[in-house]
Amino acid sequence: MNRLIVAYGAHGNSRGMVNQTGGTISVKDENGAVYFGSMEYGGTGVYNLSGGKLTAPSVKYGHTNTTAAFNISGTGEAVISGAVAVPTRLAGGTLTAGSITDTLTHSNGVFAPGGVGTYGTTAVTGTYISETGNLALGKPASQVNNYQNGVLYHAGDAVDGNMNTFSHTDPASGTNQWWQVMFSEHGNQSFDFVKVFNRGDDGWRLTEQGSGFHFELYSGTLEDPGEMIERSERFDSTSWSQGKELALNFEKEGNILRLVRDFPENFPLSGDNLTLNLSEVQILSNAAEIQMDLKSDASEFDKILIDGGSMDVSYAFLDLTIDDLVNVAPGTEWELFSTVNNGTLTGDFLAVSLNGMELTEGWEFADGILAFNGTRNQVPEPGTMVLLALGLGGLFLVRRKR
Amino acid sequence: MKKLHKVLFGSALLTLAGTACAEIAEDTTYGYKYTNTADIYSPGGAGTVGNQRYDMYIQNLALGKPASASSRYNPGMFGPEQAVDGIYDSAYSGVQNFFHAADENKAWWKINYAETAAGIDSVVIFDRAGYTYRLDDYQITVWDGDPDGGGNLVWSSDIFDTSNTPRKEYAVPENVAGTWLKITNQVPEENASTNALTLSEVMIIGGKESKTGVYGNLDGGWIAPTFTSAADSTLQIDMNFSAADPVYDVLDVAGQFTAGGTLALNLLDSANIANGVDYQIIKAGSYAGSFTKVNISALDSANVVVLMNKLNSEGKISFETGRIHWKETAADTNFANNANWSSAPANQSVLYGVYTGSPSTSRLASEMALDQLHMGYSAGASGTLEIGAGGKLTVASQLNIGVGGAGVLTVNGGELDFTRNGADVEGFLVGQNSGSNGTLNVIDGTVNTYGFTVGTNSGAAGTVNVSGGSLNIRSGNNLRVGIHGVGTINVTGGTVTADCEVYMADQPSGSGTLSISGGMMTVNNGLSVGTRNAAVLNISAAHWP
Repeated sequence: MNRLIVAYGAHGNSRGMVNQTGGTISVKDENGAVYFGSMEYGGTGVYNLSGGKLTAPSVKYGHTNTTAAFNISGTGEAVISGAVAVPTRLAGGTLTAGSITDTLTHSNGVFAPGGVGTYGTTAVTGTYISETGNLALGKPASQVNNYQNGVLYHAGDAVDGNMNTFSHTDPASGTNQWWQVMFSEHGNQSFDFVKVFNRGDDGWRLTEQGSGFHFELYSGTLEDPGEMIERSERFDSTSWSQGKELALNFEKEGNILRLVRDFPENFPLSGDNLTLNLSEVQILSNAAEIQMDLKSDASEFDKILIDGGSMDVSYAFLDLTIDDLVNVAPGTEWELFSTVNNGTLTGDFLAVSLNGMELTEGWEFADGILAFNGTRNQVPEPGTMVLLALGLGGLFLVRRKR
Repeated sequence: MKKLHKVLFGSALLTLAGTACAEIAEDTTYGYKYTNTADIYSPGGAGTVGNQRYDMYIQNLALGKPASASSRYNPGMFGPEQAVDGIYDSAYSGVQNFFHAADENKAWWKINYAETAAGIDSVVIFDRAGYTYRLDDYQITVWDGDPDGGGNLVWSSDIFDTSNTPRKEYAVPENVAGTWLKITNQVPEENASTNALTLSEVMIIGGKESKTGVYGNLDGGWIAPTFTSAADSTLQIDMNFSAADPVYDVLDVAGQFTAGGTLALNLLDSANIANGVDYQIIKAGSYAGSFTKVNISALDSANVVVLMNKLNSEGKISFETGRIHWKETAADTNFANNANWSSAPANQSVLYGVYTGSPSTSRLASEMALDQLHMGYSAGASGTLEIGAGGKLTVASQLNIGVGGAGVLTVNGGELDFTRNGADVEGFLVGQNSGSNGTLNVIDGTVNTYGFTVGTNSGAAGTVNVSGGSLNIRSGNNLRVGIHGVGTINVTGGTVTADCEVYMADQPSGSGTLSISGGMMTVNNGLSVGTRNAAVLNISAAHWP
């Protein structure tokens, strides 16, 4: 296709929605693009890429009177050879772009200048922001039963991003009170911490009268989550408060998190005080990854040129892949990030890894530049490498398994 | 109050010999209601042209007149006016609709039914359904002025004992004339609290009169008669076009005509049928309902079709002459069999699936060329065609799948070729007019076309399903998914190649959806998702290079 126009804008009613959950779309014409709008009458265009692949020369406004949103999530893969020039959210999947000229908000998934395994440069003239992602937001959820078997207060109200709505179970199930969300629809995934917002601010019904709750991790479907993989510690009024970060310290990964109420023996077992009422559950994960490939002799490598734009990498991981870790000449430098025209690079990466491991002695990453000042072959013995991978590498490897 | 009687009508009586008289049910519960429950009813008798008018009006002097009462059961509910609102069903549409006095002794309801002294034939009282035992020991009185404002008693009825029937009619002597009528509860005081005065409707019948030349309810409380064609009945209209000035049956109803069942046209002579002239076969004060089937077998072999777009709303039909059409009584299901058409269809403009209640279904397994094909021509009609192996249909200028009704064209092993360029908004339409529903299925085989339209006019729905084979849209004019109507394209397999521009939701009232879950779609120009209104593009598993 030459042009894909989302919300043409020939009338104020113009609204276009593209939901790509699989397959491939290629905009082939070198002058073509995914356009948001074409005419001045406005309209709203949304492109949700949650699976499959989109290849296009650029993603941009055809007319700026149009409201645009480009959302990449799940397993979606966007390969944009030129500019990504509309507000874009990367919450999963992969984005490769020639340039970022609007705002890219990155909470999950891979931002890969030059593509994964190939070399290239991404220019940032707009804004790149990394942030902690909420894996639970908008995901399928269920609960032991719905309040009065009704359609109100269903489980999804706890992951709708709206603190004013809440889920609500029914006392009919007695002390069997749980709520769960499938926070990953594409296999198991780790996360960093959880925030639980009870209905209202007073904590009523979640930790009242000596009651508490714990989390259970599963891998399966909402209908059939399978055997419990892990169980968290119990939280109560002393260890939980509204919106507090709760580290569950799971060793393993799953795709369903279940919140279960625990009642003490002397709990007054009747009525609505048995129920589970959740305004919002957030499963938070630092999972934004910038992936860059480099050749050991620095003859080719992925680059990000911040040209008048800004990047805040405070909540991102930098994952580097080098073609030959053994034969690196001392003194080699890779200027991965460079700034021109008052461009800014702020924040420190959460971690920097090289071929899946923490930077070892002789390697240094600072001010956007990777440098090797060790001696040739200063690579851990294979045995040591295994230990490293088990001990430290876990920090890097586990969190990105999907 | 319901009875069956033979309809006998003046001068036509003599011509009825040898023909069946229709059984028309007459219901005078509230005005005159006639219902045809017979197999065939024909004004003038079946096979004879005649005019039948129903115009027996009944005068209800109470309707809408100012009413008042000694009390009401609830403030804001059960007001005295609810007994003269024309709704005699006490639970009309599930809403309590009746006057209900408080539980008091000697409760009364009264009405000022006339300005000057007027005689009364009878008084009809509709009781509250399920509570008819309550209206016990009550009395009707007629006054020459307000009974509580100096009026004099003109007449008083006996104290009626309950009849436990929902409709009670009481004759009033001929010499009684007044301006006010009062109904008083005369139940013994000890029973007053359980037998409250309740009235669903009170009719004061001033008279019954056959009125010529008028339609609808008239001032003075005159309620027009209605006529209903029941769902299992047939209304036969005899028409004779032997002369340039045709004669035909007319069903003439002063009040509402409610259509239903079958309309059969009996052409006594079709020699001088004119194109595009409206014939009013049903005259009525108002129109409701719709015929579910139309029997026009008399015209099967003529290149004439009947247009019924004004039938249910105005009682009119007209004819389109020079129209080759698929027969209602086709010999077989071979689309290419000339015997199934009113005349040979090759390279002609043809109609397929013309009449409501007579679906046409056929298959094409040979080569055939048409100039125009209109499928599902009128509202309620349906035409279904499958192009199977060995079949090739070439359409030169116009292909409308679902004109006013339903059209389904399925390519399953054969080929469809639409060869006219430059006609994207009027040449090939899937779902043309309001109420239409057009479907193009590509299961196996090939469709070659220029750009076309899916969901054309407001209220039209068009769907294209591609599950196999190939749909090739040549460059030239555009593919529009939802111009003013609703357009949907589903690709679950096969290949779609568009060498044209694709516009979805082309106009502010249109909407379009394109879903690709399999197969491959190639758009070699632009695709606009939401041009002037809302459109959705879903891609789930397809390859879209």
